[in-house]
Amino acid sequence: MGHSPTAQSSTPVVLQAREVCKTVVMSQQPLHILKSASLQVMSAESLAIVGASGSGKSTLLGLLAGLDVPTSGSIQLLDHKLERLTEDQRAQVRAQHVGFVFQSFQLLPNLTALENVMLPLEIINSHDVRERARAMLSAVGLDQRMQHYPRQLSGGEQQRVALARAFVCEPDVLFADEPTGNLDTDTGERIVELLFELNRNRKTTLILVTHDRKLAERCDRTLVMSAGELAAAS
Amino acid sequence: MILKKQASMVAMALRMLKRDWRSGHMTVLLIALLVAVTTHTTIGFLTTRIHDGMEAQAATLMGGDLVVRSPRPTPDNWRETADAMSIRHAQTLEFSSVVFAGDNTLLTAIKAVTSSYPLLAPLKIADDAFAADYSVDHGPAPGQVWVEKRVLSDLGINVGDSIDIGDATFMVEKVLTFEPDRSGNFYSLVPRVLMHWNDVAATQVIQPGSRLDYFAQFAGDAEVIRTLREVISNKLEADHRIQTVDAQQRTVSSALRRAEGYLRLASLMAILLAAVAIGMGAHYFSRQHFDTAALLRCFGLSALQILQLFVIQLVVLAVLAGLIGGSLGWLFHFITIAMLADLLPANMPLPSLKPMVTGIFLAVVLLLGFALPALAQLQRTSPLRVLRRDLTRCHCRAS
Repeated sequence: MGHSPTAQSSTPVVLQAREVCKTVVMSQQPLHILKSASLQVMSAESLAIVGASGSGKSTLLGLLAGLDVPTSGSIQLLDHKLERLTEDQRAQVRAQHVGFVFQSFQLLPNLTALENVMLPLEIINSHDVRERARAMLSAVGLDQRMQHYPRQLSGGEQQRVALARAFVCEPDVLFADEPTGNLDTDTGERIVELLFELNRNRKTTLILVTHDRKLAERCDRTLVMSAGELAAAS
Repeated sequence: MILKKQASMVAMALRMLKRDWRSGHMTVLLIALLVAVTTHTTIGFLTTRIHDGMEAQAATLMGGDLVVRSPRPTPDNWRETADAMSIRHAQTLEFSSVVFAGDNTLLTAIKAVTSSYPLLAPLKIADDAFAADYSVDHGPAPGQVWVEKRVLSDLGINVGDSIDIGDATFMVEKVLTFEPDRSGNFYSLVPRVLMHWNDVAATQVIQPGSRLDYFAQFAGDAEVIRTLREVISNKLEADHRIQTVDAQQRTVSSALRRAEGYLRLASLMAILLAAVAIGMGAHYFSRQHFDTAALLRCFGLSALQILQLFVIQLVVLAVLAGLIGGSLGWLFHFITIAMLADLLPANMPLPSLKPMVTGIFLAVVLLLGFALPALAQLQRTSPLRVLRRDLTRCHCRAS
């Protein structure tokens, strides 16, 4: 994994969105969720997108990560113009370059902590899957909890497993959707410490969506989403 | 490269199957499949085995390799021809008659046999009603009869007592317990009395218009039997009915096919119920896996790979269910055979493994047929569901 040679040599820009709009039709009326959003993220930069619930920040995250396509506008992730790719091609881009951390952890309940971390490595048919997953779980302090199922772990431990799963493939870009949203303040702070430590050590580009101003302040840059429009933080 | 990718998909599917099995998501599907396959293979093994066993013993069931049935005695020159060809032969006569023991009467199916009877398989008799039976290769001597147990109880007599048939009196010498060539006609519903051929005339029960069945039985090598048949065929009269092993096998097959039809109907009901359970189990399975499918798509699997992943899991599950259900069917057919031992021929050959193969095929078809629609929903799961739980189907191109 890592940047493609072209991306690394041509530009430090990892992600660029231009005039991105997202409109859905509800009750036969168009609903503009995202209105002409543009942004640029440099390699190893950390960017926070803040905003109230329903402001469109998760929609923007989904578009930037290639989980969805914009109604208009363009998004370039490394060398890939996402709006021109099919869903399966975008899936390949995600497998090669992107990691995710979710508010609700999204661990599979029938898999142990170790198996959850192994899953993305198995998908890309990586080598030394078990050893790499073990090492990553050790890195997030869960040496003793590898064979535990998610239901046997606390919220903080589950998010640590999710962080290990996100970083184990060494992604170029990590997208985090409200990573502390389901955690109490103390646990949330410990997870944030861990997230930024891993981000620093691995020089991953971090794009996170949050309504937590304190978390946003830890990032290099903050953008504010309001009623589908994006603006720089004041 | 493609092969390597496919191999890694299979490996991943097997790992997921193991994990799903551990979580219990597959239990309903497996039990439903086991019910369907076990029912199917039990009936399959049972009918195949009875069919093969009865076909192998068709000649024994007939009483000879070649049998001619007639309402009148068959010509003596047939037996002379048979003697000349070193073919063994016997004659039997079957008719119904009332027998007397004091004031008691009973309608019986009488069979008179010549001294050379039986030709192929032994009779079984017992010394009294409650003694163990044993095999003999001859019929009763003149002046004696062998009777089925029911005759003793219905007439209130014991072995050693006398019964009257027409004008003649006979001593009941043995209890008849098994008669290899007993036909499944009207006479088989009433109890049997076996007597010697030479005693028939003394009874005076054979009168013009009596309903009689004469059987001329011949046994020998296939080639000489074929020659004898050609000879006899040229001399057959209108009321002679020639019976061969082939014809007997066809009769057995036809009767078994009818019995198999009823059993298959019962099996079909079990399979239909299992199919409903499979459909419900697959629906539950797919509901449990929307998040898995969304996460796998988010992590980079294509829609086709998602479908492949779940189809491989189900095919492996179906083959496993087919093997386990087939083994249970094999076991249950032995139990059923043991329960029906009195009604079935002894020493039936072991059945082929064809029902096992069709059982595995049935499991795969049932599982894929009833589970694919549910799996197709998983294939269409939107990766966006990882952010929005309300999404199930992919709407990636929605504006």
